Amino acid sequence: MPVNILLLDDSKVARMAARRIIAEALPDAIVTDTGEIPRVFELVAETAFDLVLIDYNMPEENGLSLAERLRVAHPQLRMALLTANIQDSVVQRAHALGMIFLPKPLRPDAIRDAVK
Amino acid sequence: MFVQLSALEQDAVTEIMNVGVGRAAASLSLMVKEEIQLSVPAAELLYGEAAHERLTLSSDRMVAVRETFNGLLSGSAALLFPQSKSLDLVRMVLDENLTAEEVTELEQEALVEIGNIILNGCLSSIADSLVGEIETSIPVLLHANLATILPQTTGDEPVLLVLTIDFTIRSRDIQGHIVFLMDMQAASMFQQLVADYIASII
Repeated sequence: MPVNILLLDDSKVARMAARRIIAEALPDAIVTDTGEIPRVFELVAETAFDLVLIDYNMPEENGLSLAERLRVAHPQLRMALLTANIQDSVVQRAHALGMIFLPKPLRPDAIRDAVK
Repeated sequence: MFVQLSALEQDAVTEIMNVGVGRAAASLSLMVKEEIQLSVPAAELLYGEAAHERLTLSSDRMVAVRETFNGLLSGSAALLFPQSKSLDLVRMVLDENLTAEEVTELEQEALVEIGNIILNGCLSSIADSLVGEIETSIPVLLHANLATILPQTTGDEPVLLVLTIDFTIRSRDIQGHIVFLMDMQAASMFQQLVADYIASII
């Protein structure tokens, strides 16, 4: 079964860059991307994603706060925080929410490990 | 001749800078042992009057940490914020138990360090993303008005890449700007490199 990944980032360029790395690391992966937070809730309700990649620094809401809301609605959802903000406190909060921490720029081995 | 960034190029530059300030925030948070939030909402290329208008902060007197850069791109980079906020920023990164005298004593050194970390974060993210190498000079601290901080280049009108930056630490917010001053030739090259970067990820 191909891996099914949802990618949320307010930057179109960041989504393009992440898509390219995912395509390189996981050529069979199905990737859906969006820049809209409300759309994430619709998409996770419709599709069983293997991994949801969430950007941290977004204008409306940060990725950790969003992950907290998603965790309530979808306790089993596998989520990863994708960010250049590699401060220990952010990493710890991501882990406390059961998220995988993926530093930006995304690397092929990191995304391969994240879906294992 | 004017260099204009397309919406996608502007998005790319903002993202590259957010990666840069994200790395800088990680370094600064190690210094202060607390979380620091730094974000760059948008990148803009501005000229002459428009640049000066955009950079008019709450005070005419400003503090700047400026350094020059060479290599893949050449120009100068500065972190700017109102002089009235300078000590607030210093207090954010120094031990809160220091006396007023100690804070004043350490002000210059702390500002240069903050500026150096942020500017180098941005420049190394530019170099990594646009695949090249950028060397930077030793940063200098300036207390001055905008015209002094951003020297006019000879010949073509200089182009400013202006990024507004929000610092948040210990629930306090300070807004400043990161400015890259380039001549027209460097700005055109920068735009071409950004276009190449976008083409490489399509």
